Amino acid sequence: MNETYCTYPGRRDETIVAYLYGEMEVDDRAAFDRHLIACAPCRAELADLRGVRSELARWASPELAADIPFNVDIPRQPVGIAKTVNSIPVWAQALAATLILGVAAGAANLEVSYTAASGLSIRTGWRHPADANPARATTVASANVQDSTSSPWSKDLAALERDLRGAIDARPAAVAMPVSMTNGDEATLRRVRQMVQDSERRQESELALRVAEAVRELQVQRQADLVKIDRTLGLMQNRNGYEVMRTQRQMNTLAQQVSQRP
Amino acid sequence: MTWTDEELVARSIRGDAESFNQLILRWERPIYALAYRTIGREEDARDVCQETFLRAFRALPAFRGQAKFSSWLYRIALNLCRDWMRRERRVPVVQAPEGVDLLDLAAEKEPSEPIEELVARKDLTKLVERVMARLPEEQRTAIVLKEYHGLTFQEIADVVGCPLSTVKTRLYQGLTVLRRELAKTAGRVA
Repeated sequence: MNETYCTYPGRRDETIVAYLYGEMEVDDRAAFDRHLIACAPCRAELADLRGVRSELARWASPELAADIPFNVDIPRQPVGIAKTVNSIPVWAQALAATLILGVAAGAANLEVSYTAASGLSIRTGWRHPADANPARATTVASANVQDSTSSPWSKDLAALERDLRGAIDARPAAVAMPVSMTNGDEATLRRVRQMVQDSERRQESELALRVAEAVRELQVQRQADLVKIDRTLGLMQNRNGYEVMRTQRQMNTLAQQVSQRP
Repeated sequence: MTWTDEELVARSIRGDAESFNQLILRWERPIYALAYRTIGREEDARDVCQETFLRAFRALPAFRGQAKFSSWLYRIALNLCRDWMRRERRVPVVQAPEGVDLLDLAAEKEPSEPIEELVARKDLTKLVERVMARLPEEQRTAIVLKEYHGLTFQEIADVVGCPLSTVKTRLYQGLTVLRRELAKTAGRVA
């Protein structure tokens, strides 16, 4: 059976497009297949749209003559603390942490002690100098940096600091590479020449188009002028003819009057 | 080794210039073709293409990967094409085919017929271009993305920012207009 008009219950337009491009659920496709068997208008429309698609395939875009010139310098990545730390070896990071801890402990005048009477005691700050109570004989550690020359690990700290600086200096600098699509001067030159040629060709084409338009307008104008001249001449001829006729008529009248006189 | 777009994007964000170069090489032709089919001028399509990558490069750190990189790039290019058409206040143009002498054409055309129409009739491959240029922008974009870039309905919806059903409707309407116009012009040529 072939229906002459479509009775598809759903959104017909969307379904036809989905069917045309094969983007349909299997069940929906099967349902529309069944509908197509009976519906002549849908079959015809699908065939037409397939024809349109094959026509569309003929439209090729022009080849890109050369790579797109793209010369942009990548901005130097912000060198933050995290980025710097990540690029330092782990051993250097551990040394740095120790150094910072040591300096911080010294700056805070940290004093850790243990006595049988009071147990573990940690004291910090400058209100209580480390040597305020000489009785504390069981001082486990003191990070007092007031007398840095006398500190047993000050030399170690200095050495660590030197090592760290060396490690940081030795790290290769992250140099921002420019993004460039050119592969050397010759390639750039070729590309520029190609671009210039393309541009000239386009300009010639544009110019030819404009000239053609101008010629066409000129021809149209010329034809219109000729018609106008023709019409004007015709009018003038008509007017002259009328004048001649009137003159002849007047002369006839005069001749008649003259001939009628006794 | 071939990196995926997403991997190249991640490497570019970390400052690897070569990765971004690879993205350009991979996508410059599709983006150029999209721009050309949207605005119809080779030189301007090149400009749009270049600007697309420039903008993408600048916006790369903000790219979160919710959409495919290509969809994101297509969206930037289409926005630029839209800006171009708005700025120029013009519809897509059809360039004269190579080897066609416009002066000869002008001599044989009827005064009422635009020269572009005559060019299109002379070159049947330009005919499609000509008819496409007459379509409303959103229908043309849907057809271009579907036919020439093979995007799915959903991807087109993501690129142009409209519902899926709207994409299908635009495609149907555009194809229907094309069918009518092509039939009309083909009849005239015959």
